[in-house]
Amino acid sequence: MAGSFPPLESLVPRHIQHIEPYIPSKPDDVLRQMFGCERIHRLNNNENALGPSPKAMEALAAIDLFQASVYPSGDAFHLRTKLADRFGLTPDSFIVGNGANEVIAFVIKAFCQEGDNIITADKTFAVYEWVAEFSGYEARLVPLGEDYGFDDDAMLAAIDARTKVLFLCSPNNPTGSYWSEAKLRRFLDRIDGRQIVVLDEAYCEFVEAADFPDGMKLLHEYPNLLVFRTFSKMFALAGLRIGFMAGAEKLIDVVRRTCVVYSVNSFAQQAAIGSLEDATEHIGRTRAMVRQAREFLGPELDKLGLFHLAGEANYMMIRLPMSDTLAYRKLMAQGLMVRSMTGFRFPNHIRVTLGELPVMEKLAEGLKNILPG
Amino acid sequence: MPNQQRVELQMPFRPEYLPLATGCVEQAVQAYGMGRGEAMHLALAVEEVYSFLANRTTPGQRLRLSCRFAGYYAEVVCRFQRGGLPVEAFNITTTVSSDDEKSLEEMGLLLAARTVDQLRISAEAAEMGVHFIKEKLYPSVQDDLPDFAATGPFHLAEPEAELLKQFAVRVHSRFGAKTPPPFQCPGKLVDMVCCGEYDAVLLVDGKGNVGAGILWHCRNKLAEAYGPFVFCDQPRLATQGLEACLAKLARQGLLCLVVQQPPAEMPDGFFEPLEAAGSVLYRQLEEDNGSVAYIHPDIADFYRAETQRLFLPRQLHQALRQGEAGSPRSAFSARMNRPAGQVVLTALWVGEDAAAVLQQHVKALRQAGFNEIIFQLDTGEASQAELSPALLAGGFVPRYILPWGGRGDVLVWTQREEA
Ligand SMILES: Cc1ncc(COP(=O)(O)O)c(C=O)c1O
Repeated sequence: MAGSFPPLESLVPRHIQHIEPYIPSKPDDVLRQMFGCERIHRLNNNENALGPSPKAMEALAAIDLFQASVYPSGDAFHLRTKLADRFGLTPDSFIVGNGANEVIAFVIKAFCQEGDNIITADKTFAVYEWVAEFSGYEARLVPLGEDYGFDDDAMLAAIDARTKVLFLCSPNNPTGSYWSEAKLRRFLDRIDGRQIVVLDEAYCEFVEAADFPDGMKLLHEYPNLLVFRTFSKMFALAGLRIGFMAGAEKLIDVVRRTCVVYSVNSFAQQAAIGSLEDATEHIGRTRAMVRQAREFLGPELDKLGLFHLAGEANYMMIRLPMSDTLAYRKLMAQGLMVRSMTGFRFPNHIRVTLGELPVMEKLAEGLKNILPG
Repeated sequence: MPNQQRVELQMPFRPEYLPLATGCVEQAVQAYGMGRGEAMHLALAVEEVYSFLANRTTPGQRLRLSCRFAGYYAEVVCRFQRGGLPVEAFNITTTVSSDDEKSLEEMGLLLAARTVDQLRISAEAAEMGVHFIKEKLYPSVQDDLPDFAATGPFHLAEPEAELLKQFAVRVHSRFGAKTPPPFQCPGKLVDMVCCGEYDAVLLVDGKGNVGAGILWHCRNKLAEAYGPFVFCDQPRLATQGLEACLAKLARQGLLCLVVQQPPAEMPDGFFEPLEAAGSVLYRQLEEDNGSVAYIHPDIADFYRAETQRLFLPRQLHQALRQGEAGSPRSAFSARMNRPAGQVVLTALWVGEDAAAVLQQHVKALRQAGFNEIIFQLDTGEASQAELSPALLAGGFVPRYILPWGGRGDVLVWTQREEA
């Protein structure tokens, strides 16, 4: 080895020294071998079992592979135009990112500096908290209320002069809860533009309830609001990594200063444009699948005496009379990959993706096999 | 962290510098507010190591000495270049010829180990370190607090000093002479939590009574907890405390939580027993997606049966030497807990002489009064597989697998009590 090992104690900032890297799951072939099962049903990431829509597939099939040699549109020009038409906003109201995960980082980078904080819930999608902490900002975690929903009063009470961004997840991952439009409006009114409010609507396309608020519509009235959406869930493009945020042009202009250009590849942009073309049909078919899965699984879990919680999104949370990480191993041995929820601060719970009926039947059977007695 | 006042010094290994090393330790430890007695013990330990090294190192080698205060103990580390010494020199039994009582007495490092509370040997990138830990002296529990009948609701409280002291007294009132070490001195418990090495969840009623509590600390990727203990007629508090503890441990990158000797009030359904007696409970904090375990054929049946019982996804690689030249020498590290009479051995290097070195360790440790000898074999290290036959021959018995307890799973062995 040439040269000395770098002095990590002084090179690595304190807040990074204390952070543990996220460990993604291993690929299927490796997992099959480890757990000795023939097939793995991935029910851990809330993907859409139906796959991309026909138009998205068409768009992907039509791609000129030679284009791999050329940089993509650095600001997803055509996609933003389509999004503008769809949501009745201007193209400059959008930023497209390498998944919604990337735009979370853009927002925190754009608004926070040393000593600032963000506010979110303790039991929600982890990335808001992670990005804040590895960037050196405090993440204030407000416990969910009794109803498994975000606690508006407590979040407001947690705000101080250094609070920059409040992250809401609607519907919440993993509890499926959401605020009615009236409640959301009251919250935004009380914030009165003093902080940035992010409404992460990664799963909004699954929701059928009439009182579910549409963040995109509220953008006209609340210039401090930012809405996140993704093509990973309903549109089944998770492997291509594409998501976006929308907000008032002036706010978006600030966030754009922190963006990484060219982070979204051409194929993802094409597929996303394709999936907007037949969105209505695709959403309809997917909702029907999820509804069927929910209607099947709920009573099955009741029969097993397991508490479960499913909102309107494509996942369900289940409480087990055993450690969720042990359940994970026992279910993996049967080819069923679920999400263990200790990391979401729901010990002894698992979260499963609602998908096609035969797989849901396998899941019910798999759960029956691992229950004691 | 205000308590972590670090002092560092570098010097050559030459006799005339010895007073600098011992003086530094003496002064620093007293500056930490610890007694002169404790300071002298640490200085003596450093003197032994220094002299030991000074006789054996090549010219130009340097000692890096550091003193650190962590609230309830001072740690002194002597670090030096790894290549400068044959590693086996650090076996605690080096220079002990197996039958000679006298040379055992003369063994400098073992002597050094006797003056401190813990001795550990570490191997870092290019350095080796000898770590000495001496704890502050604290008064032990004086009061007695019997369990009580709950009158009002309980809430989660920050583990502040007065509540922690009450927690220690309540645990002591329950367990008497069998009180787990962290609870034996209330003031020490406060310092242990205050310095950040331990954390606790306490459930307290409106009058400030601690109704339940759980205490834990983390080492590498593993957290070890004591409790949950419930001190009133509200058994549900155990679940509440445990859930709060798990919520605090979530998203910290830890892989697992272990509870040794779980109390009777441990709620069902949170842990898996690692061994039949149920005295070691375990819970993973992350999803286990498998690993490779290097296992000697002699122990493969045990390992396979255990991993199947625990549903652990493991690929067993039978690691067997096939005539190739290995390292000639072995080096073991001993983590001694003198008051508990317990020592935990781990392997730094495994060589041809492993069985003999193990035997010497056992003999020396038994003579030094350690009655519980534990060997932790890391199955994530291929070279350690060779130790299994030596352990079996030395009368050690594999007790259980601690998944992810080291680089891979740790196979825990104990030595059978001699008849
Ligand atoms: C609530 C929520 N927001 C954002 C994301 C990130 O999605 P993407 O795949 O677009 O990065 C997820 C993905 O799991 C999510 O659950």
